[in-house]
Amino acid sequence: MWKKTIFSLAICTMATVTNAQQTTPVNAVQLAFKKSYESEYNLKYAKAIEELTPVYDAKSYELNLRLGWLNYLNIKYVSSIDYYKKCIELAPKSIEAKLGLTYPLASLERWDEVIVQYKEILKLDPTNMTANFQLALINYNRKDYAQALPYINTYVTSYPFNFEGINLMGWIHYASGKKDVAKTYFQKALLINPLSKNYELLPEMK
Amino acid sequence: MEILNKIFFITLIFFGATYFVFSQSEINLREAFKKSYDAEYQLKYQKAIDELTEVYDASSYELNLRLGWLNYKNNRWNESVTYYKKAIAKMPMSIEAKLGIVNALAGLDKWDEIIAMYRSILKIDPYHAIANYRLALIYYNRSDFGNSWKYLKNYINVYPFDFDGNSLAGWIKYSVGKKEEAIVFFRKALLVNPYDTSFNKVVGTNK
Repeated sequence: MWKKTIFSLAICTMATVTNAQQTTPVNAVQLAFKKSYESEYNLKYAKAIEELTPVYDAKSYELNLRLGWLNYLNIKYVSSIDYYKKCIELAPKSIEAKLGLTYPLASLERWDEVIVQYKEILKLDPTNMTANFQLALINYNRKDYAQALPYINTYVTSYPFNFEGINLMGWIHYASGKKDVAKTYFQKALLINPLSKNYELLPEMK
Repeated sequence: MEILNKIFFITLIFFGATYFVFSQSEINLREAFKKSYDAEYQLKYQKAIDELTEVYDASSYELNLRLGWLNYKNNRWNESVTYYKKAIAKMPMSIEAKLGIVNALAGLDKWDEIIAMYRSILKIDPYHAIANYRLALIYYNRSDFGNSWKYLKNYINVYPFDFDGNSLAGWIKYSVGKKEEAIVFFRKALLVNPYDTSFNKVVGTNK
């Protein structure tokens, strides 16, 4: 019985050692990341990607996230999306990966998919600042003011003295024909940024 | 008919005057904020506060928030707390006001109140990055590693490639004697910042 156990343990240990030998050493991965950052800082994105190729492991969240980002910077949006999607599979709760994915999707103007990602973030984190603001902005740009309003409401409730939020809230109301309400928000926005010229041309603000 | 005309005329005067007064007070308020920002940019915090005194309205969220911030910058932490509390009373769901007040509370070393404030943020936004991370850090500094991990877990689940999160995760695990788990987090942190040296004693200089 004991002999069997020891034999099994030995086999198991040997398998682990062999596996470890086949796996890239950790410091090689760290070195690859270091070189990749250096290339990125020099705006050499293709080189930054190449530095990671020898150590690439499809199961590594970190490598996929970094390659998602670098491919986005390198204007390889489809590849970027693939890497970010792998990240999300590996860490489904990752907000940073979902936020990352919205960049290449937006560059490809795949707005419906951008919306899906932001809504996924809100399922995890209903008051997430970026997701709420961006969803409000996308819906505003689509002239869907009724859809834009709940998102900007959530944002402004948590950050009532934020220029971007108050400004967009004002424009959503203005576009919906509620000019008096809009004016109140524009006046608040001007308290945050008195130098803003956003509302100069509006007769309501003269 | 003449009476109706008079009423119409008086009403017109009344609303016109109200509109003028409203507009004028808005302009004065905006001008006061502008002067206050100008003074702040020159690091003249007392002057930045003084610029708002004439237009101060205790029921204004914006004025209380701004005075909370300026008094904090001016090292008047008790005054800062008072203004921020008024802002929070006015807008209880405001995360920005709660994040503001913790700066002043930290100046006063009121850590239990800071914890209460971060927890109240988490009631609004359970995955709030700053609130989760800082609660984890406070409990870590109190050597309460169980509570520290509880909050940090929320943080690194949603931001798995964050240096601060992985670093703190490593230190928590290290402190509870889980050195191997600590090394995993430290190595992740080193992928984010390969130049960091704070884990050398644990991970080794060859990393």
